[in-house]
Amino acid sequence: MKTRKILALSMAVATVATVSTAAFAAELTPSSQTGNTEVTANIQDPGAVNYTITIPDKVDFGTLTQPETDTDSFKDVNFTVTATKIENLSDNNRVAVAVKDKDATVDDDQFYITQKTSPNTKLMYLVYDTDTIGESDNHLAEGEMGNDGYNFAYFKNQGQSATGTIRLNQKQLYGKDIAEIAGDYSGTMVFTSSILTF
Amino acid sequence: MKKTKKKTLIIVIISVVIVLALAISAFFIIKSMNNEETQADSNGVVGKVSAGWNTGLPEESKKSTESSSSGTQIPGYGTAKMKAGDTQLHLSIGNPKENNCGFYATLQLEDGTVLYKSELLKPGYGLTEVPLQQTLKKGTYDAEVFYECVTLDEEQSPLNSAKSKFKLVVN
Repeated sequence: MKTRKILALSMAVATVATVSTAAFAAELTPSSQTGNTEVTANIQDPGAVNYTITIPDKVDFGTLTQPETDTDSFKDVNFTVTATKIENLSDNNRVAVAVKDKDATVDDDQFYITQKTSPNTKLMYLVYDTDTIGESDNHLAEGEMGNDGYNFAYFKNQGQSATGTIRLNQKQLYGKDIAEIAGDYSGTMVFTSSILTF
Repeated sequence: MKKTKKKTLIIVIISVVIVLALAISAFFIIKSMNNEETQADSNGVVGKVSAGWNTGLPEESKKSTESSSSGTQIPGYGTAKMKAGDTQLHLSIGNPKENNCGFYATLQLEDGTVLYKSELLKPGYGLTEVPLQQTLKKGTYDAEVFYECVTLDEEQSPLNSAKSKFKLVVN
């Protein structure tokens, strides 16, 4: 009789232990309500993506033309930076975007495209934070370059965009030996984004 | 003598039942832990780049998808947190699937100290647990992920790049 009691007790202990661990496992199942709550919390976790911006993939002036006279000959190309997604941004926060040339330094903070076959052959271009350039508009490099470059845009809401213009004065090509300057040019800009509090 | 034998048998049975119970418990605990790991790794395997990475943000509208086709989407961050001495950081680094270029991602402090440099991240690839090249002391650091964008052909020509700055808090 005593033996039966002990056996029954030990079976009961074993059953309780098994049931309780199975319940613990169920709480961690992704489809459970608890799991969903945790996923929601994870979205706001530090280390998660809070926003995405879309930048122009390259600087492309297309085909340049050597002017016949020593006069201004501008080639303008628009580009757009967009706040593609923004999540959980406080009212007093903005996504700030700055831009600079990839090789910009304190001593030379201008924007350039470089001949691929001859890196010493450079053409300077200007960057404006407007979609059409008026006579009174200043290009970004006329201001002071910060660590991240030149301030370009501030975004509060998803879908906002800012259009800028890159301008190359083909006058730079005037009088040069076409055999030396002909070829493909490329340049890269670096866009720096951060969340600022105002 | 008979009584002693009976006692021994009882002890053996109880021991077997308890061991069995513990084994079953251990099985379910380990199984549940594995389930938890699988869930956490849905955006990337620890320390390894994996496919299926996404920003974790709600799916964008059709309009924003269309606009992204002419540019490159760059993930941005607010803060990241870790403990002093940790060798990995929970940070979602990756290349949004909408892009048509590759990323080389470098996690670095503002002073240029490199903490992690990725292999080529094709669109849709990324990681969420970043192995660090060095540990950090307690403090708040200005950090950034430098996304160097390249074409997906053999030349891997450089495209416009981006830096996403954030505060790295080390407790």
